Amino acid sequence: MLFLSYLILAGGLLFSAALLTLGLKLLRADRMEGKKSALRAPSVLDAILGRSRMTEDWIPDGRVKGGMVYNHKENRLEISGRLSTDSLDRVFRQNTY
Amino acid sequence: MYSAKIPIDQFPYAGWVPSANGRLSFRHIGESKHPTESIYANITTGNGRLVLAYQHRPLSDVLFQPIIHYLCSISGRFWFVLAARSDEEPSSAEEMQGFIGIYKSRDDWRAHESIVRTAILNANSLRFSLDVERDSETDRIFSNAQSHVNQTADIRIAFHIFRSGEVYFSEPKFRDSELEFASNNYAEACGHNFPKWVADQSYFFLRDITHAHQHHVPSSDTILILQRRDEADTNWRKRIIFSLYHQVIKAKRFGDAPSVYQSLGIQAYCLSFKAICKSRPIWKEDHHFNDEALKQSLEAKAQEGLARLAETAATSSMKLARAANWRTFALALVAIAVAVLAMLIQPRITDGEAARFPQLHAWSDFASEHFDTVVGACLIVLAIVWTLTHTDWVIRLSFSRDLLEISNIRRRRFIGLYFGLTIVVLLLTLWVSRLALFDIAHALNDFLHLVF
Repeated sequence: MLFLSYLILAGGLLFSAALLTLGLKLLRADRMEGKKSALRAPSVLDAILGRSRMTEDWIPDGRVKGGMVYNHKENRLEISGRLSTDSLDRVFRQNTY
Repeated sequence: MYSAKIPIDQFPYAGWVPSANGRLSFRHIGESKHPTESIYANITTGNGRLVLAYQHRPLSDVLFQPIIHYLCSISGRFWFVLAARSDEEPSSAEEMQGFIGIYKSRDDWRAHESIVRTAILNANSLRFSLDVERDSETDRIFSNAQSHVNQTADIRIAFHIFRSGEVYFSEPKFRDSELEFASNNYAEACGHNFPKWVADQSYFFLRDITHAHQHHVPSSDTILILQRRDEADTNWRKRIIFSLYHQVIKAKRFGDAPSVYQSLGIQAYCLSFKAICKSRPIWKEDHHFNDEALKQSLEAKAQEGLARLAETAATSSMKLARAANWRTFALALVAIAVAVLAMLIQPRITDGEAARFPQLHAWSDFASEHFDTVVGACLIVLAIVWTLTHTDWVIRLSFSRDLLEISNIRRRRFIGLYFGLTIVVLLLTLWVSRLALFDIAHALNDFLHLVF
């Protein structure tokens, strides 16, 4: 029982540390880049479902990478998009090179 | 002129596969490791070059993919097949033409994979054959596979690619009209042009298996997209030039040396494309860019960044090395002193000597009573310090990247949420694991009694 209690203590403290790290990472993010990137998805749910938007223009939006999914239920192809790797890295100041 | 040969009504989209030297190597078409390794045959015969290649492309941009794909019944795995040929002698060939077939799911592709793969294997096995029938046999294998893909692919799109890297794409054709109708409808409701999107995906595939991404991460596929052609054949070129400059400026603004070098590389592509455009008789450059000055500016900024980085790194490592030397020296001295002391005290910790050295015995009792507690607490402290100081996992793991991406949309709320959750989880953990905490507290109490 004591061993299990130690395990729970270790797991809980590690999970708290992980949450704290996420919060700190977000706190220290590049705000300017973050705001520009956040504009691409209207809501959290849109981002989760890969519905980050890019302008349908001739100037390509390098911030969002464009993809495609197949919806088996509806038998249709759907456009999908999310932040590109380097765009997200730039929000959180991690260089890709 | 290339574009004059390609009817605008049949091939309404144009684009460019970047090449710094302005002359693509057809010999490398088919060879790609991004996003997955391609399977291909690129063979020359007496009549020209034949390329047959396919690649699995995971195109889903959904976050937390395994969960969301399952819940929403969607998949993002596509198989792209390319069949292209040039009908000129390889060294003098200026153009290749063919089509790209897209299979929308694993189920669709499974039935045809073996036919395409076998064709590629057979074609490759004939590469060094001295048989007089070699060319005709290669041609037959290629034509059969081409015809099979043409009949079975969910989407087909024809293209022409030139040595200069200029590409022209047709509108996509769907095998299943219901799929086309449903996909178009849904895309229009979301404000997208679906045929153009599919053409772009085909262009990304062609670009991936035709050139190696040198100056940006391979996943940044939307730096260049296809452009709608115009009768004058100039507007789409200008737009590609603008797109490249847009990327140069964007990366330059980020300011660190790798981004600036990335800008320099993209500017080199831009200069290469401008040189290609200038060789076209009707080309007229409306906007002037000071490329030489831009290049100097980029180089200066990159050098400045590198110099600053080198100076900071040298100073930090010097300070760190000096501190580390002193710390190691001090730790070594203390460790030796403690070891010598422990060695000298050891014979005194016996039952016979208990009356003479009661304090020493009390410490020995404490160590043996709370051995597990001390070791367990030390391991927990180490694990927490490791997690807090090793922040790289947040941006390396795909799950935490997904979390960061959604958190960025409502940044303040998520900061509050994470800090709030930290406190809640902490309190909950302390409550549930109170047995361990009492154990630690008991050991601490004994320790304090010993000290004071």
